[in-house]
Amino acid sequence: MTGRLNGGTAPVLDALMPTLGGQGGPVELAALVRDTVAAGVERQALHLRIGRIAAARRPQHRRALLEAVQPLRRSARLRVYDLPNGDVVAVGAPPAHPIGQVHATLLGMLGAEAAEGLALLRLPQEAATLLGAVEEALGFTAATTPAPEAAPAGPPLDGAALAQAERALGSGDLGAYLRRQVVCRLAPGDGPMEPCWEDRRVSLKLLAEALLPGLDLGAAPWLARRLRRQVDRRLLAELGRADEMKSVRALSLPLTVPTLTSPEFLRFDAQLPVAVRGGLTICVSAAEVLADAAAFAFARDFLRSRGHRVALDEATAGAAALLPALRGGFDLVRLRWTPGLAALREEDLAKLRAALPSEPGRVVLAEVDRPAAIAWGWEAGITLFQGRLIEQRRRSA
Amino acid sequence: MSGSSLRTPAAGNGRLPAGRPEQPARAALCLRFGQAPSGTVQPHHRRVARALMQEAALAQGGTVAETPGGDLLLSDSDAADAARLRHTLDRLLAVVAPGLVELWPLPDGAPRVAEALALAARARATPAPEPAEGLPALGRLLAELPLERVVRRQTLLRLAPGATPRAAFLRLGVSLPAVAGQVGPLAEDPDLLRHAAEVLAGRLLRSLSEPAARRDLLGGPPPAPLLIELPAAVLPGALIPAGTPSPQEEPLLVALVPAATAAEPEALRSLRAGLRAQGWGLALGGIGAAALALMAPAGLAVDWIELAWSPALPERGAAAALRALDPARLLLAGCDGPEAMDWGLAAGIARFGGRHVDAVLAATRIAACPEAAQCTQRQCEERAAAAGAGGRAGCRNPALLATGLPRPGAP
Repeated sequence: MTGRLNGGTAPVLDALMPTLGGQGGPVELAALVRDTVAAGVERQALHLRIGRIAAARRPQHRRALLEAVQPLRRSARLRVYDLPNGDVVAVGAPPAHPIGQVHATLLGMLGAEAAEGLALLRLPQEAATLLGAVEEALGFTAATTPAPEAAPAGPPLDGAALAQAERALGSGDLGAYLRRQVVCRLAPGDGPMEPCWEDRRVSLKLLAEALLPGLDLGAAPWLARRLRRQVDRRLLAELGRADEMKSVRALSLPLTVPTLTSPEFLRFDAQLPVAVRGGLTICVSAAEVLADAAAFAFARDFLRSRGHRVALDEATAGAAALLPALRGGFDLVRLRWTPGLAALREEDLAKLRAALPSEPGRVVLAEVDRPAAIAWGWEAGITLFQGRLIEQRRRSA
Repeated sequence: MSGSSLRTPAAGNGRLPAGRPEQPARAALCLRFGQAPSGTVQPHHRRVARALMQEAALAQGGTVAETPGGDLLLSDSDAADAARLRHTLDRLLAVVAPGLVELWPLPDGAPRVAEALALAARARATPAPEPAEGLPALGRLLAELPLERVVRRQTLLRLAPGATPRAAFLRLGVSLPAVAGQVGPLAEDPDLLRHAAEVLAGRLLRSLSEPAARRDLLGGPPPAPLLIELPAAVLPGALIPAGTPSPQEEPLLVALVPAATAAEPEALRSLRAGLRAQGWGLALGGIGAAALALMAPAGLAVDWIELAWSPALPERGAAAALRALDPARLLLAGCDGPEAMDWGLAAGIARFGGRHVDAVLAATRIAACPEAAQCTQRQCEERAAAAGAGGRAGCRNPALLATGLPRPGAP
């Protein structure tokens, strides 16, 4: 570990990335970013994303672009890094005139492609973005990101298909659609990851792929919600079994609002031994909260009176700011990682921070699939993480 | 917990506990749901309260019974436990009505307990299973249902100090109670009911783009911009009748989307941009006191917010969120009496809808209409709400009916 850091971005690479072997460029760049963040010094960076420029597939155009960045290599005040995917990054202390000049030249050459292929970044503010670029250059993103689904939306889910799926769900096994991930505590320079609790949820997407192939659930959200309610009931029935009861000691579970006051939940809650109360976190999405705010507020008060914790689930930055933890009575906020978080405007970030619970350990960053997510989380003061990257790390540890 | 677990169950079969001074104090608990204002007690309130009382009964040996009037009774419990339960229930049910829970110390309260137990109905059967019968045929039913039966039109009134009242919007929407009347037992599942309404709203949007159907739905040229209740799911891909793209002026078509659409404010922003590009405005609907108490709504990307009136709206919980909103962007829906409008006007709101507004408009039309000798106010209200020629039958002044309220100075 790299000692104490203020903004704490780069040690993520230390903590999570495999050894980088002979690839000096990206490692040095990562180290530079780390030092910049640690020292809080300002730097300007130019990133030429050559792989994203369609025109650069023609060799002569590619050569012209690389020729255009040559002046940067001749400047003693700049350092230039060549990444394995052909990208070029130049970093210097502001005002770095050669960077500005080359940027202007490239803008002229790239035209509309500049939006994708060229970035001017400020450090340490945009450290997470630059680290993301390093990961991408190393092929890390490709390894952890599934191929984007290009499948066009099918016809909407309808009553007939839903009735069939409900019958299948009534008798079938839920296990195939169940996703268990461990929420872990991971703090900068603070030793290994510490497992905190299990997040257990049924993937409606997997379930729909199996039971409702080709149908668009998003086009019939209320039918999808009815399906989710049935899934809730099945989950609660399984958790109510004696051998599962002890897992409730450290568990988070997403449920719909009507489920929280349903006979099934009340029965489940009545069975819970006093010792496991306080270990159960019920996650409720912003859409569920807003669909019937009065029913949510009642269910929340009931849950808290029974010793359970209530979390705002799968929140985007906007949702977390719209439903501030204090006002909404949320014990926790489960924030969904997207690269958009690293690109938040200063004022939106301030709004988000003000809306999150102030005590430490009350925010989970979920769907963490790349180190940049953890880097951003640390910058935002988050130490609880969940996602594919965390699971990979746990397995390899 | 006291040593009461050593007691033998006393009132298990309605038998009354005898007063034994050497025992810890006992009490019964009565939850007066029957006295709550009608419509405030929801089934989930009852289920949760019953579960909590049942738990106390299991630990203490009393029984839980429900009277035909809806009251819940815990016949016998340790007095301290009963007091704690009362506190919990009072707190949880404050949203329904204050002071619903009564503690009846025993043995003094024994006659009241006996009376309530005698009244008590058999424990209600467990809730009916989710209705699935008819689900496969729902799609066809919704495709064939005449829109006129479920769509309601309503004029929103614009009131401003010193200005002549005029129509602010003509609001079109699918009425949930009307849909419930058409789809039968499936409507018992609120999700199916809302799904049905959503499918019908999609049909409403398509109908509005066909001139003949549009005339039939509206009854004539609308007196004000259209405010159309539309779920976001039907919006982007749907056939949106082209409005006039004029971002400077107030759009003539406004989509009124449900509150849950704001769950991703980022998506709301792009929805608004997409609508604006087609000349539409965007309004967020169904924001009541409970939602405001949870929200920090400043900066939401919408042109209008429709508040749902309830007597809780003026209370403290909603105040912070209301302060963050520009009253000129607010519509107050569900005004069922003058107190709603009084509060709204005092809060700087200028646009109102609801039963009270419907009644005021009908009375105004009748006073101004030369053909109204035979009409009652109620008839005029119902005809104005109808979205089809059938529902308007009997009106001999359809032009006035379509405009909602008479133009100033017109006969």
